[in-house]
Amino acid sequence: MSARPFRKVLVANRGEIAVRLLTACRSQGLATVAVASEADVGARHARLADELVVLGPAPARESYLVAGKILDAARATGADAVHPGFGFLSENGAFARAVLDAGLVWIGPPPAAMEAMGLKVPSRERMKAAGVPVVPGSHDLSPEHLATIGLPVVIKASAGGGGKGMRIVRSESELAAAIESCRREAEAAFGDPTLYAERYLEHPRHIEIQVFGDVHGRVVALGERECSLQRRHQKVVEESPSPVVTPDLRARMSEAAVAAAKAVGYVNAGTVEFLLDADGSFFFLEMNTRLQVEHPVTEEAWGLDLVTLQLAVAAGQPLPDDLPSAPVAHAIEARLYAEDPENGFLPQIGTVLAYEEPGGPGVRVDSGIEAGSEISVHYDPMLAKIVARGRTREEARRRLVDALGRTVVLGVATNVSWLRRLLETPEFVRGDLDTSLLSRLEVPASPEPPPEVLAAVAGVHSAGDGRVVAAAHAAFPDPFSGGAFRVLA
Amino acid sequence: MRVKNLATGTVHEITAERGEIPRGARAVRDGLTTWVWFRGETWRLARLVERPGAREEEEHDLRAPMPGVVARVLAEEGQAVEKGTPLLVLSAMKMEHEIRSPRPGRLVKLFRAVGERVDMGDPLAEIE
Repeated sequence: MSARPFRKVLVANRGEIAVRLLTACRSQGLATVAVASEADVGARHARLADELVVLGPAPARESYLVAGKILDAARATGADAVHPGFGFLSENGAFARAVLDAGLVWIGPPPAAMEAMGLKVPSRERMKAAGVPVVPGSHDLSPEHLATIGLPVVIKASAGGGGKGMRIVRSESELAAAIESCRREAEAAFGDPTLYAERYLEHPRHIEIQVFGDVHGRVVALGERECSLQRRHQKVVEESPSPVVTPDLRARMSEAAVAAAKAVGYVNAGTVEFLLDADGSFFFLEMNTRLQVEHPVTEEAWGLDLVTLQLAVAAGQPLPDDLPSAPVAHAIEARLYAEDPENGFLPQIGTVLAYEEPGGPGVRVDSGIEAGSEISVHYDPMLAKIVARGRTREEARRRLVDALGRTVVLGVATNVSWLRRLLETPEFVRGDLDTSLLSRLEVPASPEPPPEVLAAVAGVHSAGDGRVVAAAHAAFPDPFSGGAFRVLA
Repeated sequence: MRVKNLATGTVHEITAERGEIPRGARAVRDGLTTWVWFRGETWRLARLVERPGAREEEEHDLRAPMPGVVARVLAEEGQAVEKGTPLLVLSAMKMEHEIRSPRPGRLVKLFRAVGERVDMGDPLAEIE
């Protein structure tokens, strides 16, 4: 086994997750190496590490995605462990193997487990064999057989994709006509009339279980995260625990998730994603073989530090015996994206001209940006995660609403105000969530500027040409207050 | 002075000559655009420069709302379009965005082909 103690960690990532990982390594007394593209040389994560290696030009495929350059960086700096973070090379089994072949510690799961979970269809079959529930489906479209799957079902072309040749059947009387038209469409679109029927989940929730394995064969589950609020398969708000998961359901989902992880010999942090139907049945979706973006809600709700746990497990230590068996708080995370909610959520670029993070009891910000950061087209538009913890869901929600209302980003449009309005909708307050809610929900629009805001515009314009920053704080003096304007350029 | 709310397109008239920053607000000016944060909301307000005889370019051209690469072209030159007809798909930051016609008319020209890079504000199409 390759797990063994190490002393210098290379973090093969950028942005908020690189900051999160480097901070955790530092807190454990480990030496740190950051990597950066030429565009990120002055970024927060690049300044945080003991050493920095510049990988190459800004595009990720010429920098963060080049396995050879990252291995060279580890060699050049004497790093003896690599943490991939998420995205980029984190789920690339070949990269994990190359790290291990170079004699380094891979802070992640075994490459074989990554590869076993990387392919949708084989992983589904493997899960079925391990007794993990998968969405029931069949090529047998007889009414008798479909009755065993349970209505509604979705009938789709076996060869298909992208919604072509798909019919939802809610009653047996619709079945014959649906099969007929679906078959015609499948033949026309894919040249193959073979059909497949699967249980259709009307308004499922996305519930995922955090799992952790050590090299001594122990695998534990650390509760669920509800990630039903998604826009075009992109998660927006996550929380733990889920408002609908009871201790009994948590136990059953945890058991299935641990079985899934054990079936592939899983070690280190991983996430088993399920769809939860309204009737309480749940089905395996996929396993993410890495740390998740939304890991902070588990950390806050369970009182854990998953990254230091990852470091300990990669060093060969057993999982601690005193891990909590239930959440001790409620935590909600909102993802701050550089996007324009008023204009189709288009990704935004530019220079961050002013940035302020909220603080206070129960509020946590994982961020990779600061004033002066350049938000470019080359990387993911997620800038930061704002997380709030409370004794109850409502306390966490109120804290997060307030924290979002104190988050200032100027110079690049973000979704921060939209998130605040989203968290105030009756649906969110009730916890009435499902994966298609965001496509139906009417989040109140951004208001037009009140007179005070228009007066502020006149104020900065009368202060002269160029780039001007001004702020009027109520309580805290800062360099820009006192009625003076600072001209930056 | 007239300013346009870049989120909604609404134009506001500002009569004050020398305004002031309200207590607790943050304001940043970047050229003609002023960013104001006030009580949890953020506004981007672009000063409209009045030039006699200046043509409103947006009326004639469809410009790229973001930088990216043309992933697909969905319409043909010469085609009649409705407001909302998909014209092309831009891809950037792992996401795809459909560019739709802002008004009914005829698609006279497409300025970019599949695979070509566009910068923010580049003309994409001319609609008559």
